Amino acid sequence: MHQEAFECVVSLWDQAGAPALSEILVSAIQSQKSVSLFGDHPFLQLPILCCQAAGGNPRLAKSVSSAWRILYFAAYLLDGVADGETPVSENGVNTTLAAACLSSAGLLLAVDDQEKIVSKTAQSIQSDFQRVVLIACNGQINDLTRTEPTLDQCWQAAREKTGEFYALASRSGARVATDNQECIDLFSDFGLHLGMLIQIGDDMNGLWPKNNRRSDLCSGKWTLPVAYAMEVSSKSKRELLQRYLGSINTDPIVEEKARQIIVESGAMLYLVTMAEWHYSEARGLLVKAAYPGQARDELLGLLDMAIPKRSL
Amino acid sequence: MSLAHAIHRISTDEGFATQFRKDPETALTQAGFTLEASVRQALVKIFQDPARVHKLLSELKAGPDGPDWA
Repeated sequence: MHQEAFECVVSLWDQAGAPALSEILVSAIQSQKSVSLFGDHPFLQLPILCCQAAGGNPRLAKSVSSAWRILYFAAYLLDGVADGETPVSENGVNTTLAAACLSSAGLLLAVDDQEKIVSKTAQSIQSDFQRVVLIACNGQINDLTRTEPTLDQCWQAAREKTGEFYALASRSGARVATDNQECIDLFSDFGLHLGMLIQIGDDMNGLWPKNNRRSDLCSGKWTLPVAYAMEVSSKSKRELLQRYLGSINTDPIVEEKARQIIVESGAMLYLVTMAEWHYSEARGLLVKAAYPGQARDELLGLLDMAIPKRSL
Repeated sequence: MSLAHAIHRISTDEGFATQFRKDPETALTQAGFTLEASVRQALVKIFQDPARVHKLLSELKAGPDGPDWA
């Protein structure tokens, strides 16, 4: 499935006279990490499952699913650059590739005329894709430029960067299945809560180093647990944490001390509670919106995958 | 920010934590925390199971599981 999506993009770029971009894309998706990421990543099924759960034929969501895969890939590339995981020498190429993918994803909805999506619906989904790309870019910009965001600002960035992104996939899948706006909105809100759950899990994971990846603390990222601790802690604790965060790269023991302040402030319990809330809301919305059946069960399975495991 | 401050209070004030575990609704109201019903429900659900909270906190050193990226 992912192969088809990327072939569509390559064909679009070739037609637009940009074969160099196509070559870079082919090389990027052939890398081992990309293959394992995109081979059967369950979250990539979101548009198709939402279409099916909203009563539609999953084939209707084929082009939406392709467009979503391209956006997902662009987000993956941008995330690598923003998190400093991509070699500096590849940052330029990956950012260019991601920008090209972001601007092309919506176009996939216009090139597939075999799935019989009503053109008005296709246009509306295309506009939605473009709108969400702008929102997600705004979230990334805020994430990169706000060095010490407040807790509210962190939640806003999580919504813009991730929540809206998953809401788009869910409502687009539902939109090709039905024109019932109430149903589409329910799926949209389900996707939003799912995306927020994923972002919470990501920020919780990031507090610790994992698989040779530095922790977010070491990378200087001001994520939800840090913003929470800075929001609720006493002045003396805030100053201490600030001092630790400023010297993490010169003293490894300081990372553990900073983490201890964050955990003792209740940050993880707060995030687990927020995860529980998003999980309950998403589940309730899905039960209300979706027809009972395999697709609904699989969407519930995605929710279970997204909730931070240790809180279950 | 009521939820954030309520959880911080539960995490750092033993007296309040005990009162919260006995009667969450009263403890939150008396301390002036106003929470939406669904948020309050999530909070009570997390803290009503001390074993779950203990397990979570004791395992945090290894880092929680979850998706690799978002």
